[in-house]
Formats: sequence, C-alpha cells, structure tokens
Amino acid sequence: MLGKNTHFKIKIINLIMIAAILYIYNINLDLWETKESLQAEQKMAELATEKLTELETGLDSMLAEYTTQNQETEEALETYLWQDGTYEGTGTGFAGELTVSVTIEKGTITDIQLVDSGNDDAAYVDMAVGVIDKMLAAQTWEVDAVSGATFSSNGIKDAVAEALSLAENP
Amino acid sequence: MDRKKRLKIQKGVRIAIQIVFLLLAPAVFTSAFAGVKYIFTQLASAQMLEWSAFLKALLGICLFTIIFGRFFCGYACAFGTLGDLLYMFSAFVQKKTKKKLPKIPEKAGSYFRKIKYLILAGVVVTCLLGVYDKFRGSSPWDVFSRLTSLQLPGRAYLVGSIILLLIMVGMIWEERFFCKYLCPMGAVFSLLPILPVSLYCRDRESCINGCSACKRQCPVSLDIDGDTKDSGECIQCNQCLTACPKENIHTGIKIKGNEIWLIIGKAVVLLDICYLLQLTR
Repeated sequence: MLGKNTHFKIKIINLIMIAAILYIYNINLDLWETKESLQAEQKMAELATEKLTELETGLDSMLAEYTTQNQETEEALETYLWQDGTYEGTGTGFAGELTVSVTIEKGTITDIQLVDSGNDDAAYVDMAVGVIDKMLAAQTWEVDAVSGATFSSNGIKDAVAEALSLAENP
Repeated sequence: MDRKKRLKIQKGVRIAIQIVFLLLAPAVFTSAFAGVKYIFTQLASAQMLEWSAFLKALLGICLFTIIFGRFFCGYACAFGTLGDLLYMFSAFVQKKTKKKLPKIPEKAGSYFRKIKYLILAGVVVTCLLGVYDKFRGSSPWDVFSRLTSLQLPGRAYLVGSIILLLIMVGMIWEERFFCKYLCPMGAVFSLLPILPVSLYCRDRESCINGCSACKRQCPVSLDIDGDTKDSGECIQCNQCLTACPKENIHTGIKIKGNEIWLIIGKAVVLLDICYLLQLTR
C-alpha cells in the first residue's frame, strides 16, 4: 500500500478524528449549556422586574388611596367642632343633678336625651325639655331657658354644655 | 541456557505477573470498559463528557497500550489470567490423558475474530439508544467482577452467570478463547495505533524451512510480521520471541537475552498507572 506501517498510520488518523469529534462535541455542549443557563437567568430577571413594577404600581395606588382617605379624615376632623360619638354630661337642676346624653353625627348634634332627671319635679322637667328642641335647632347649648322652668332648663343646658365640651376636637 | 528452559522461565514470570495483577487490580478491565459505555451513554443523553473515574481509567490504559502494545491483555487483565489458568489446567489434563480437544481451524478462527467487534458495536448501540441498563444482568464481566471482590452475583445476574460459564468452557477448549473471539475491550485496543517500536517483527530470511515455532507458541495464533492488518491481535506475551530457535523475532528495542527485565519494567509501569488511577485494591 503506502509503504511501511500503513495500519499504524490509518489507525492514528482514525484516533485523532474521533478525539477531535468528541472534543468539538464537548465544547459545543458547553457553549450550548452556558447559553441555556444565561437565557434562563435572563428570563428570571425579566420576570423579577415585571413583578417589581407590578408591586410598585400596586404600592403607588395604595399610597394614593390612603393619602386621599387621610386628607378626607383630616378635613372632616378640622371643620367639625365636635367629634362624632355619644357623650354624657351632668348639670345642676332645681333639686339635684341631671344627666344628658348627646349624640354627634358628622359634626352636628343629632340627638339629646335626658338620661336622668335627678330629683327635679316631673312637671318642671317636662317643661324644661323644650329647651332640648331649641338646642337641636340652634346647634348650641346657649339658648334661652324655658320660662317657668328656669332652673331645670339651665341644668339641662349645663349638662349639654359639659357633654359638648367632651365632644370638642382637641 | 537452552531455548526450552528460557521459554519455561518466561512463561513462569508471565503467570506470576498475571497473578500479582489478579490479586492487586482485578477491576481494571471492568473500569476501562465502563469508560467506553460512559462515553456513549453521555452522547445518547446529549450531556458533556466529564473526567469520570471510568473515563480516566480507559484513557490511561489506552495511552499505555498505544505506547507498549496490548501488554495489559497479556499480563494484567483478570479475565485473560482466568483464561490462561483454565487453559493451563486443560492442557495439563490433555497431556496426561493423551486426549486432545479438537482445534478450531485457522480459517474459521480468522472469521470468529471479528465477532468481538460485533459485540463492541452491540454494546455501543445499546448505550446510544439508552437501553443498556436493561441488559445489565446479562454481562459476564459484571458477574466476574463480583466474584473477584469475593461476592456472589445475585439473582439479577442469572443470564450473565450462564454466559460466564459458557465462556469458561470456551477458555478450557482453546487458549485465549475469550480474548480472541469475544472481548469488546480487546476490540477497542486492536483499533488503537500501537507504536511500531512495540510491534514484534520477524527476519524471515533466516527462518528455518517448515518451522512454525513462533506461531505455535502464540496464544492468539498470530502470523508475526510487524505492522499487519492483524497486528492489533498481539497481546505482547513475548513467547514468540523466546521460542524462536534463530532469535529472529524482535521488537523495536533490541536487547539480547534480557527481555525478562523489559517485561518486568513494563509490568511495574502498568501497576503504577493502575495505582494512580485508583484501580488497585
């Protein structure tokens, strides 16, 4: 054939080719695997940024909501002299202490109840409660007492004044 | 020293070295072949080839074989040693009973030698198709490895055990039966480019007419003539060199009368390589 040691030459060429093929295979796989892992990392980074922007917008809208709510409450608290709620107050009538319960809703007096009329005479008390309607209408405790039941009316007025002072915004 | 005595000493040294390797490193064959299977299984699953212990074993033994020829087969392979011991026993019995077993004719033998390439191809294909695991129980080498580590193979290896027994029958029948006809690792080695300096050459001009001492002594029935199409079959046993009445046979390194030391040197180098590859016990 081609002289001495032909079989050796053929075999060594074969071996080099096989080694080269396996080496190139390995390198290719290595490159492919690094590319794959880089792509996967990129994808994860993209997902992460998406999630972050989502959270950001969510937080922003929440913040806006709270700020407006806060503003509304503040405004509400600022304009009203009295805080919403039910408050009790006592005053001295003709014969003893009278207790009233005042209800404030949205800064206005919506209800005044005589809880305890003390020892005052029932007739005087019946007349004195007329002062309650006046207070509701005037939205203040400083109204004219009912003539003929001055002490009881003043007692009720004082009790409402005390309750209103408790309801005042600090 | 006359030829017959030198041959006896050479054979004695050889079987001694074989037994040393059998005791110290019986798993080299299995590890190297596992390297072959590893390459093709990785290819099949499109994965990278990493420096696994099996791959290192395969490359280490192949490198040694490229430089020194199939010395591993002749002196270190546990399977080869098993075959040689069985055949020694068989030859002894044949001599004593004066009954000779029929020999496989040369022509048939030269065809049977190609079977080991088919077996190698079969294993490679099953690895590439990813189905090798299904055939694991039929591997006679796995059965043999378990026996050398003093364990019984277990029920899963029934097919493998039967094949091993059949192989052992073949080893009794003909010298190096497995190595010549069936060994897939031998098929791999015979495809390697062995350095011409390690091949056995013959000065045919000074051959005695009708003498075939070298061929008769050769365990793999080789026609010794340097780099031929069959020179990959040579297992470097050195018997042809010792047997030649005219000392016609030589390798690239021409030392007269001290070949034993060269053989012992190669055995030491191979044992060191096995130790470095962590294949020794």
